[in-house]
Amino acid sequence: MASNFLIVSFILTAILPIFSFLISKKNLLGIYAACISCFIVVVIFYIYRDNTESYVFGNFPSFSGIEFKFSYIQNLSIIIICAISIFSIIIAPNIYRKPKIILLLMLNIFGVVGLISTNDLFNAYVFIEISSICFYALLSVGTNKEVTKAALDSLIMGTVAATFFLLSVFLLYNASGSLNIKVISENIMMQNKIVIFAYIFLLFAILIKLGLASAHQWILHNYIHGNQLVNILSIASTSLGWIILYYKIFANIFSKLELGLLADALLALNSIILGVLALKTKDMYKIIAYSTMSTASIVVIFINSGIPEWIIFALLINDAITKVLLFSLFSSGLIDKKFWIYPSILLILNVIGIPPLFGFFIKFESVILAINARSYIGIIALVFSSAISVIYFFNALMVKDANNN
Amino acid sequence: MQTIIEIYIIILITMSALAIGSGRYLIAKKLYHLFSYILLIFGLIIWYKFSSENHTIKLIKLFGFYEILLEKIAVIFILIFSLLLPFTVTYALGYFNLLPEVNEAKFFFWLTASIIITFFLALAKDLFQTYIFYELLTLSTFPLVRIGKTNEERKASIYYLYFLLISSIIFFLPTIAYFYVQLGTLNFQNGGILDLTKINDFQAKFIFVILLLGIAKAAVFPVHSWLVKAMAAHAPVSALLHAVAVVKAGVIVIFKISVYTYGYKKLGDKNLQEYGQIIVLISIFIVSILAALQSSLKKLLAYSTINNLSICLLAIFLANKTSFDAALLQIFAHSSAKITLFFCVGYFGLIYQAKNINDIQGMFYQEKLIAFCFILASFSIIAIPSFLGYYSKDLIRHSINDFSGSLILKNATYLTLVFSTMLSYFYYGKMLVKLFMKKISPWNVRSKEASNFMHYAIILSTIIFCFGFIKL
Repeated sequence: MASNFLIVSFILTAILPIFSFLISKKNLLGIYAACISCFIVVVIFYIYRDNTESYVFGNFPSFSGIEFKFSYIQNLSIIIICAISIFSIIIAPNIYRKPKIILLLMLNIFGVVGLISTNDLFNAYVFIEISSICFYALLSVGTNKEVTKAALDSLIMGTVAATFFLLSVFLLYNASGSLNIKVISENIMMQNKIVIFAYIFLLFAILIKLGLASAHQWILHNYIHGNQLVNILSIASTSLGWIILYYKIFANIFSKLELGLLADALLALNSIILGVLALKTKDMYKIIAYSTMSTASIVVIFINSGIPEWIIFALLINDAITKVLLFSLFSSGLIDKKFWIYPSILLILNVIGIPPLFGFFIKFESVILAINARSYIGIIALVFSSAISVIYFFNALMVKDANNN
Repeated sequence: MQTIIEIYIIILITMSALAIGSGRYLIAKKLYHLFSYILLIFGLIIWYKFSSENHTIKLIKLFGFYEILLEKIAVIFILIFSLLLPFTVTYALGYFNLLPEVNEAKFFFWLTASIIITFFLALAKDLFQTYIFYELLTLSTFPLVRIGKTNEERKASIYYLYFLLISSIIFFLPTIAYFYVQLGTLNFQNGGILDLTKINDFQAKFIFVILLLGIAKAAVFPVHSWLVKAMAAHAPVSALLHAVAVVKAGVIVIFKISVYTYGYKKLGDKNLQEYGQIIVLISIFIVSILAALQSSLKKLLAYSTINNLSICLLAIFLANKTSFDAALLQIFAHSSAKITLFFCVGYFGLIYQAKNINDIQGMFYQEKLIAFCFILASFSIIAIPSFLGYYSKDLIRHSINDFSGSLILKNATYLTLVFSTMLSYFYYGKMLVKLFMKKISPWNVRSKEASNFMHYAIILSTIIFCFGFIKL
């Protein structure tokens, strides 16, 4: 019964703005803020209760019914994403506060929250599409030709990623006869070769979406040509949404699969190549993009090695919040004022993981847990990417500082 | 003891507040100067009290919440920078008076911040605290290296930052994490925490090498280049930070790890420092040659510093009772003599635009007092008897005799030390000869106003190492 409140408030976040848009097309920002705030309050209430809530639509059995699950970490991620979405619209220029854009933003968040909370793989695919379509539409807002091109690139690559995901879902359904993650984990036979292919497709999907070293240009275009609103969403919600989805699937289904070192080695290599590519540029937008892609790869390695859930999300959430703030400082032009150099230095030090900032404690703890889990490849990737990030972040900052002087 | 240390911290915090005000109010600057000498007195009191309590190692809770570990290495280190900080402040007051473009208040603020961090680094009760203050020291000294805002300083400061941060992230941090996972604690304990059933001999030896690379502030070859680059900074920065606080902080961290993490007895008995010692010997050998090839005064001093730091580490790695004292004395002797050399070179550079060895030709006849102090400091560094530097090197020689490791390593240590001393005679001799040669071209002299403070600082710092024959 209690979980009904959660699911109703979740659905209302999508329905209310649509109705408001259709009826009045005015004051949508207020409705948006009210919906999101109510949703956050409800989620906080559930965090306070400190237990996992499960909800199955219409009480159908999980084979056909769609199950939603709200655990502590997922709730926390939902709050962060909602808060960031409010932050992004608050700091966005007035031209982005139009009803249509706010509606798209709202639906995008609805999609990501659905992605995080659903326990049904096909439903996850639906949420991926909802959030992605809104994202492409948001990205294409503007008069610049490059924006349209970037949106088209995103559309193509996003669809490729979603297709790989769908293929993985198809194979899992084939092997287990269900779409529910829990049921799949109970029914599936790990010896079945289909499971390995399902994993490979899933890995491809997440790598394409979050940044594969050889096909990442479209993400860079997003960051360079996209508007501030979209980029902030991209830094926070896309990464968090996809990684939480990956985590859910991996922890429940693929954790028993003997993957060997190959997947981890490839991911580490991906992270290192992205780090090295970041050295070539002094543009902060590109650097944030590269760094986010690199971190995503490392997080996937940590998920594969089975280190505790909380440290993975602490790493992700810290990275997302810090980069959103850093991006906002640069895109809003505040960085041109000398005073704002200092907060940006603190943010950069936090991303790198320098004591006594929060980022350091998270990285230190993750190294310890990774040693315990014998994920030495993950440690190498994390340490190397942290070390290299010192160079590329400060390079960009020094250019800004020199320009200011 | 707890109260004295708390007062010491309060004085440091007051100094940082005064430093901020020193840009606007002359009285703040004067008070800052005065407080630096009060700090010296408290530094001496801490050392005296600790000595009178028979060097007992103890945990102290400061202000009711922050725990520190009071032990001999930390107290000697605090004594060193408490002694040398006021001279640096005096020197800097004279130096920056001639350079109005440099923000003096900013310099004093970051100088005090660095000293506060160095203080807590010295007194860290475990490896985790040590790492935190180690990184903070890098960040707090970064603005000092670029205080003059010239292009050269900017480039040097960036290199400095990258080098020290990256080396510690790659090597130092994972080592600490590894220690924590294997040993379950990072606390510094008398006798060490190393359990050879959990970390085997080879791993322990290998970790020592990793630590030498990770703690790049100790500037062992091949992680020494940041120190040479950082010489682009102004003389007061080079003097206190790159001859005393920063580099010695690196050595002190390795010293504390040797004594309180590995356990000094275990280190000596099992020769766990073997690989580290070989690296240090290579470092002494190569850096001595590089120093001999330098023509720039500051770079020569930088290489000489690296050489002497490696000698300090060598003394630590000999791991016997004599070597413990030898290492501490070497740290003290080198700091006091090298700061004087940097003061003198800074003086020559600022007043006479002398940057290279050739530029100080005939300086003795122009600046008798400063040149005399320069000669005395050089004598201490190259270990001429009756100077402090001689006694520390002599103690090291004794500790090599007591070294329990392999005979080949023992002989190699002897030979390397002799080789390094011979070369230091050569390159310091080269400078001293130049001082007495007649200058042909006229001097290009800058205004000598307000340089009295510089004279006082040089004389005061000279006094410390000249009286090496008095046993402390």
